[in-house]
Amino acid sequence: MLKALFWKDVRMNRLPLVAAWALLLVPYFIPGAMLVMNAPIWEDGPAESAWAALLGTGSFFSLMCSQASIAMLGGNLIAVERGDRSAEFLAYLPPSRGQILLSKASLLIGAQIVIIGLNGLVVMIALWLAGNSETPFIFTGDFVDRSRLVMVGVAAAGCGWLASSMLQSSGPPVALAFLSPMIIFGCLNLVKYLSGWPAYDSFPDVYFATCGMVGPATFVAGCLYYLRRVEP
Amino acid sequence: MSHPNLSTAENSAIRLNEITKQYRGNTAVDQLSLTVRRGTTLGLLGPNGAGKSTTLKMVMGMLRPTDGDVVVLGMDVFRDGPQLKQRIGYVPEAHHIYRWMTVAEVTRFAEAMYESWNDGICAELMEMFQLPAKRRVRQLSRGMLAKLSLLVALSHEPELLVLDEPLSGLDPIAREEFLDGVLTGVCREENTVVFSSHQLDEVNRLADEVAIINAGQLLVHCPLEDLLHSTKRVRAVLQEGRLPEKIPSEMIWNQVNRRDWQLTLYPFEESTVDEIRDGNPVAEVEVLDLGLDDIFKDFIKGQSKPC
Repeated sequence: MLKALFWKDVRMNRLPLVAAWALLLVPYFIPGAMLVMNAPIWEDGPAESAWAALLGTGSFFSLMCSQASIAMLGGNLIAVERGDRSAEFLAYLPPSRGQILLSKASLLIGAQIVIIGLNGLVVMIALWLAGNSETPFIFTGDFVDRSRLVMVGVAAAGCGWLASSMLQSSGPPVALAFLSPMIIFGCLNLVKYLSGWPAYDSFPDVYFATCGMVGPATFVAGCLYYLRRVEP
Repeated sequence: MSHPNLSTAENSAIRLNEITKQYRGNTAVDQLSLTVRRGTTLGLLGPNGAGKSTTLKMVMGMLRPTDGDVVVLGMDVFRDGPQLKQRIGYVPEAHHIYRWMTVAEVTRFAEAMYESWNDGICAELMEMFQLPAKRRVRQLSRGMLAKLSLLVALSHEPELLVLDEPLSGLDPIAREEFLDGVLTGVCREENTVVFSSHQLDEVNRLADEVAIINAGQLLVHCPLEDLLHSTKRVRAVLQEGRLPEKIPSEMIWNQVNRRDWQLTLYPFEESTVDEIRDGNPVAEVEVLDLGLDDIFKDFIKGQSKPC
């Protein structure tokens, strides 16, 4: 049953998934390549270093763009079936809410794992090519920055997921998913304005940590709402 | 008004206990109590907006009642939903099957959802309905969609079949095909079938029992034969310049037009005619049989225009 549900969810979210693949791969060819091609490293250093820089740069932009597709997927997964009312068909078939949710959550979490896994693999290849030098990260900073990117993606996907569990069509949840990092940023600035916390130096750390907390919290809230809801 | 033989909860396929459904202050179903015995075919009759679909959605656990309990096949429809749905087939009024799937994909998907699936029945219905396996759902006509929906509902051999206006929107040929080819057969078997309709010929052909609802309230629930035999139109001629004085309690609808007084009575008893004669200034009294069509209309008119 779960296999059929998962296949159905993959098929229903074909657009965000195709976008995810495109956003995962295209950055290696466009911004990464352009940056590296224009850099002296391509001419001055060994070919391995140049390739390491290309992969390192490309993977950074790939991870950044892929978070947008994760946000889109998070906002789309539940509400898309309400939008075309096929949720009503599923509602009178035997799968439980938990099974339906498990299938959708597997797709969202699985897609994020694939993105992070592929990114990590590319980074490892880049490091291996560069011989553990800093070359792969000369344009983008080290790997810690990437985890921050993931935090933003997680927050966006979580907020989209919560909205998706409540709303009748996927447009507003996807929009909210994209806006949520900015909303969190705005809210944190408001807190800073009112209370003086967090300090200027620690603001980025607090922002990314907040994103890292908001994502799972909204995801869990969305799950609970969906499980408690009776209507399709 | 529920028939005494139908009010028992024992051996019931569906038991609705004073269910109410409100949408933002509007009451769609109002304290409706109904028990459907196993093995019967119940026609749920009512005009548009009477609350038929809402009631059936609550039976399917797709809507939670604002108040009251829904017990289906002895199980709580909300707590035991997934197990229960293994034993129920449902055909909605509007079909929202995944439009991008092909007919074959729909059957495979549905097969994966049910613990038991009868490939023989599925293949037989595919052939009988002449459903094109490779055609996408979005390319199917309304009639074809209804047939696909019925195929999904029947292939796991449900104990209870719930049909919400199964023939609405079908052309007369498709309706006949459906009635003769499928539903008549299904309703004759040991299954419990509940179907909503405002097509009285469907109800006449298929139902053992009838429940009429209007404005979310149950007006009557009884065997179809009983309803037809126990509902009579009494036509009386009043004396010049006089009006009815004593209206019998069994009256569900009445109308006075000059000297002509017509009233529909349920449950009808011969003694009621004597009561009318004795208690009212009438010159003549005549008792007429009614068809389901008139009975239905009189129940609805009687509720909406209290005399």
